[in-house]
Amino acid sequence: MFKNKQKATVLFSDCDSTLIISYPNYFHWFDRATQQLFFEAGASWSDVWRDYDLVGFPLVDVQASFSGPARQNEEIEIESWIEEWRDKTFVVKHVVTLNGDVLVEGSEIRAWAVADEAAPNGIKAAEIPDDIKTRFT
Amino acid sequence: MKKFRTEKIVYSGECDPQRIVNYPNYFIWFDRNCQKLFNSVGLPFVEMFKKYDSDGVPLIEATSKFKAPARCDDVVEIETWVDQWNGKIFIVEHRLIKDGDVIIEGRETRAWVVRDSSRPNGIRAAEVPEDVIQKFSD
Repeated sequence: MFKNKQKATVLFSDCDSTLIISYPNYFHWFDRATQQLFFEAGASWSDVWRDYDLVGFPLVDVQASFSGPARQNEEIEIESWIEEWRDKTFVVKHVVTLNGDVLVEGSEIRAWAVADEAAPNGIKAAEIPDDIKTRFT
Repeated sequence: MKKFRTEKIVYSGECDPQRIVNYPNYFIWFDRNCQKLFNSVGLPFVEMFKKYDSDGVPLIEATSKFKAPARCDDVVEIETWVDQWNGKIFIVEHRLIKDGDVIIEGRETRAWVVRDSSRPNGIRAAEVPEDVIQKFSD
C-alpha cells in the first residue's frame, strides 16, 4: 500500500489555553495529508477531478482517537494511506506519532462524488474506477 | 440536559474551492460551541479550570457524520449538549441544522484532567466534580 509521511512542527497558534494542540488542527492535517497522498501517488486532486469529471472527495464520516497531547515546538509525523477502496467510497487512515509514539489515529471516509443534476447543487457518489486504485498499490 | 444553540453564517474562508465547508471547520465550530455551552451554565473555562485545579477538558475521541454539506452564506444552527457523564469522561453531542434538517452529527468524548506531577507536563484523568455535572441539568 502506497503511504505518505510528512512532518509538522506544532506552532504557538496551533495550541489552546491549556498549552496543547487544539484538536480540530489534527483534522486540518489529515485533510492536507490526504491531498498530499494523492499528489505523491501521481493523482493530484485537480487532475483527477478534471479527468473523471468529479466534484471532489467530500467526507461521509470521520473519526479520531487521541492518546496523548502534542505541545508547542514538538515535531510530529503524520503517516497516511488508503486503507480500503469500497464501491463508491474509500477509507483514508492517518497515524500521528511523536518520537515514535502514537498520539492520534484517525480515519476519513470519503466519497467519489459527481454532480447530480436532479437537485440544485446536487452531488452523488459514483463507482470508483479501478485504474485510480492501482496508483496506490 | 441543558442545550446551547448558536446561529452562524458560513463564511467564504471556511469553504473549499467547491464552495462547501472544509470539514475540519466543523470541529472548530463544535469545539467553540462546547466552550459556549460551559459559559452558558456559568462555567467559563479559565475560571472553572482554576476553581477545580483542572488542566482542561482534552479530547479522547472526536467523530462526525456528514449527510449533506453546508455552503458559503448558508445560515446554520449548532446545537450542543452533554449527553453522558461517565466518571472521568463525558460525551458532548453536536448537531448542525440547516433549514430544520440535521445535516451533520458530531460527538466529542472529553476527559476531565488534572496535573500529574509524577511526569514532566503530565496530565491524568480525574472524576468530574458532582457540582459541575449539576450545572447542566434542567
